[in-house]
Amino acid sequence: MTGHVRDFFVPDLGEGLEDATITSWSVMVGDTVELNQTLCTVETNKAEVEIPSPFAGRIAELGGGEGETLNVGAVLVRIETEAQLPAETKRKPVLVGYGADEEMDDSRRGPRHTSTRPRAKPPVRKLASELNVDLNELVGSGADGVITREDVLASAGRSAPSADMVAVSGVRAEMARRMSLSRREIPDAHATVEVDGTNLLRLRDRMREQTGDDVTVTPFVLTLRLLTIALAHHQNLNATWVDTTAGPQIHLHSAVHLGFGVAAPRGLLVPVVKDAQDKTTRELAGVVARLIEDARAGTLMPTELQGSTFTVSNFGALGLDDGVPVINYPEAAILGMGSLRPRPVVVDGEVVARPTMSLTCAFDHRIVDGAQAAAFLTELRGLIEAPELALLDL
Amino acid sequence: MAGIDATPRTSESQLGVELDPIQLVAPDGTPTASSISSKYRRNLPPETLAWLYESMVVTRELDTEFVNLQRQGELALFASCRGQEAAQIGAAACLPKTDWLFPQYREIGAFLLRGLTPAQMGAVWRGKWHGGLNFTEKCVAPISIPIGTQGLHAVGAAMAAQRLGEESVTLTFLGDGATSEGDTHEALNFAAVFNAPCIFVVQNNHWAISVPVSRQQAGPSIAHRAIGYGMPGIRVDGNDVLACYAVTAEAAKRARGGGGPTLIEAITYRMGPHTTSDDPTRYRSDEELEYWAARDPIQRYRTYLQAEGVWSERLEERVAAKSKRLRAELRESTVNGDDFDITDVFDTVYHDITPDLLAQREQVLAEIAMEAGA
Amino acid sequence: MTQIIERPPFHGEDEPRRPLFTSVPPAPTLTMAQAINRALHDAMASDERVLVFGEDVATLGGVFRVTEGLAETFGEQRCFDTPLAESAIIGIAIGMAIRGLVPVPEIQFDGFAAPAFDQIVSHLAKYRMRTRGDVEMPVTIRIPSFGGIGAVEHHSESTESYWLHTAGLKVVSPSTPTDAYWLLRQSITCRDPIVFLEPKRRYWLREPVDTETPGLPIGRAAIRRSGDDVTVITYGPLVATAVSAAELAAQQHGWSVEVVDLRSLNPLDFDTVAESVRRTGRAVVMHEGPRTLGFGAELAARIQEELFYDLEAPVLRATGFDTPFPPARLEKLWLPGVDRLLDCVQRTLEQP
Repeated sequence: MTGHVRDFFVPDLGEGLEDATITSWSVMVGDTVELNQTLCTVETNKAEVEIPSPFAGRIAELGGGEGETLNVGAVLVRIETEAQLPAETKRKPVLVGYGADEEMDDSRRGPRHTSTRPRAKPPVRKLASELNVDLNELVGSGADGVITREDVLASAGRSAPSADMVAVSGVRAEMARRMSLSRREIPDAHATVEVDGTNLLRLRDRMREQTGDDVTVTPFVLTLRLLTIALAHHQNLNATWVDTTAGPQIHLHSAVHLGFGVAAPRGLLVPVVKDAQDKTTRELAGVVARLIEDARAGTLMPTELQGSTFTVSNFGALGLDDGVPVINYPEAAILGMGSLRPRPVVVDGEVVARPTMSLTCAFDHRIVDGAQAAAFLTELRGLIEAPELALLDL
Repeated sequence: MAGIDATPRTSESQLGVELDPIQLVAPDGTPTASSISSKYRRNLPPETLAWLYESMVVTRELDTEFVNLQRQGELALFASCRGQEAAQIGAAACLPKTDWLFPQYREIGAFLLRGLTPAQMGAVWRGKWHGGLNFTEKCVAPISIPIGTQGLHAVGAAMAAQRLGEESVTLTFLGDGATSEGDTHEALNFAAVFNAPCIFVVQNNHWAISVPVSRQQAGPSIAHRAIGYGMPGIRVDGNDVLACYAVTAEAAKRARGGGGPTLIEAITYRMGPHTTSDDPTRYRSDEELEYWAARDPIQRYRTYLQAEGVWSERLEERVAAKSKRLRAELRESTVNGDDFDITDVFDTVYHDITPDLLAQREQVLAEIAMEAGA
Repeated sequence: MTQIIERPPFHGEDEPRRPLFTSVPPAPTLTMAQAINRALHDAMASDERVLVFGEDVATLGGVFRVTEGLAETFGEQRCFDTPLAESAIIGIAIGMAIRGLVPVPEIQFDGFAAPAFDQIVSHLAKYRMRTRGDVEMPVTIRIPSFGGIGAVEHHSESTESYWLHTAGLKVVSPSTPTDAYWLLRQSITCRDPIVFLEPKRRYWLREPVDTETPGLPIGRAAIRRSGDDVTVITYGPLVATAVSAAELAAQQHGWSVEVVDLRSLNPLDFDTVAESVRRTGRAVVMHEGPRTLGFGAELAARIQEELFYDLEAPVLRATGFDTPFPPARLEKLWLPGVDRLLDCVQRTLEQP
């Protein structure tokens, strides 16, 4: 007879039974047995129990000899049978049922990719879903990293980066941040004067003859020196707007810490000349030269990039005639210097060629009004066009 | 105004319980000579006598098949009625098939008598469904697992029969353990107070799992409790099928005539364990088993029938054939039968399924679909 | 089919959803107790299989007179007193149902449902499913329930959680005399077992009851008061409380509170709840009895499961406390009332 060999296990015959001893076999290997025919007698405690065959077939193998003790669940006998029966699960019957089924602790679930869930309140999630914002991409600005409505609104409309885009980081990111802040917070206005630089240049030439190559006195340096004088007379351009517990205040700075823009390899840097008002022209030239060198080399200390009370943007050195610089938040004003080169001017009713440059002052209109800006720029122009008059206040 | 009746329905003199159980056939198969028992003697026709024999033997055979199937891992558990065939068959046999039965769970003999199929009986032990599939078609209530609770159902059914103008009788089977439950007390009390046509057959098989009947009650007998309720109480040899038949028939006649309920204590023995996975050797002795084996209901009745000339080889063959057929039916329906669908569990809770349950039904179907697709 | 007579369908069963308010013909003004009495009377008159029984229901007519006149009208076979045994009261109801009758047993007080717990939970709830639909249990258990009458122990319990956690039982609780009448009529004709919880402190509420026009069916909630700001969900004795609180809220604070009367807890009309909470974004559940695992816990779970993105605030619960019911003189401090409800309402409104 060909067919399946089925295992029949030692059944559980009583509470807590763990094994049974075969006292006698009623069949041998090779015997044909009928359904329910007694296979053997097993002994449990004091009782002897006959085990009926669960299927008809031929005895293929006995699980143990007479007198041998087998554990419950061990193979008692193997019967070759034609019957096709489904695979059995080995469950140990209990008083009231089939017994525990280990398969109940199995799972059909596949592995899942786990990620930390973004934390956001229900209405915020709904908003995000409506605006097509992926909460997983946001960093929450609320307490405990909770994503707020503002975070979602700010993120809305953003698109995903593509290959031809460059990430904004480092110096550029900082510049972007500061520029945005300035424009957002400060209601700025600007005013421009055209300055005749003839005397400034003559002064520069004369000083250079004196100092030689040790010290570089440039029109820029001279302008800075004269600027400190003008700022001393127009203090509210050397100020900052402050929101205090007692309401908004204008902080008038007694010292002039001049910041000036330098185009460095990393981007725009603004080194600061501390206490420019106390420096001589010679000293100022030295400091400016060193700061420019360090800026370009990338060796400026962080403290040298902080603390300005007034900033100058010399875009003229870059070849620009005119421009409106962005105020270096939270300062009251910024001075932009255009290029110094010959331009037609009217002198004594005649058009002549003179070296000129434009000076544009962008100012915080909460602190400075047009008249004050005009007065400041007028004085500065006067000083640049007739530098010897600066001696009056030295 | 509904009457306030000061006089009790039954007086002290009307009630007494005979401690000696009614017996018509002694353990050795000879007719019992006793004046009390003799008034129960009936002249049942040979067909009926043979039918009782056949029913008991087939019950035992079927019972054996049940046990085998459990040992082979095909059934979750089984509560064998081995040794109690006479008690339940004798009681059920005397009633018309339209009288309702309210079983506990150890009454496959009564089920067989009523024509329930092995497949129907096997479904609950297999774990295919609960209770008793379509039992009510044969006026049998599904089995009751909470012990003793069915007595009240039987009383309610009997009270319904009164209101429906029937002449029917309702019978409930209880165990000796069940007589300790509060519900049994309430059922007996209600049956007596309302004069319900309800028969309480207590199969005192001496054991409630491992707790002996001596721990269930301290009175003279279970039947003696009837006195307190104001109904007749009768003790009968539960292994004597003719005595059980006679005593139950008398109680049924009384109930049908408006005489109210009866408490019958059938003294028998649970030869097997409480259920498979119970080990009786832990709490009872071999001697006790031997004592009761000598009082086996089938053995004694066969001897009696042989003496009466009712037994024959042909009868035995017929009985063997029926046993074999039903055993095969049980095995086939158990081993090869299909499980029901899980949706049946949801669909049968209410007549009108609730919206929430409908949603849950969808969930289980979705889980199954996911598993299938995984 | 085993039961003897096929049950005729109740004429309201298959009707389409009706509008909430219809014009009402002249109707007798009844208290809730009288409405229940009338419902029992009408149910017994229209179906001879309906029985009413329990302790003191026949001769006395019930301790609240709710079953008055039934024994006189229909006879002792149909309305009768039982011995003092709650398990038996339900047990015989089950047996009667198996034989095709329609029992309406009474458990005299909520606290005394405990002895009947086995029969209700082990049998009544399971019978239909365990017989695969073969045997139905068209049983309605009436239980005077809940607190607010300054009672001695065991007469003020909230048992609904036990029945709701038992699959197979339906649970209904009216808040008005009209609902008491119609929900009871529908419960009696319903083929499923129903636990009918009567708010005994509202037995003396009075209103015209139209016994001709069928009311809202079981499984439908009712909006008792419309509002825009907060949804208050409740049932039974506290519906009137919630409406009072809503009125006060409008006057004193300008809050617009919507009150949903669930009417049946199983089957639950979650659609009405959801529609309301979707609009208001704020939900407060109010019920008597202990807080833990009260129906508020279930509703809060359901609401946040299905309406998570519509919520402006967590779902709050105004309930009793996790203690046994207090002595009568302390009851008022313990039970949820207008103030506890409005505290919750305020908290939901204060959420950012």
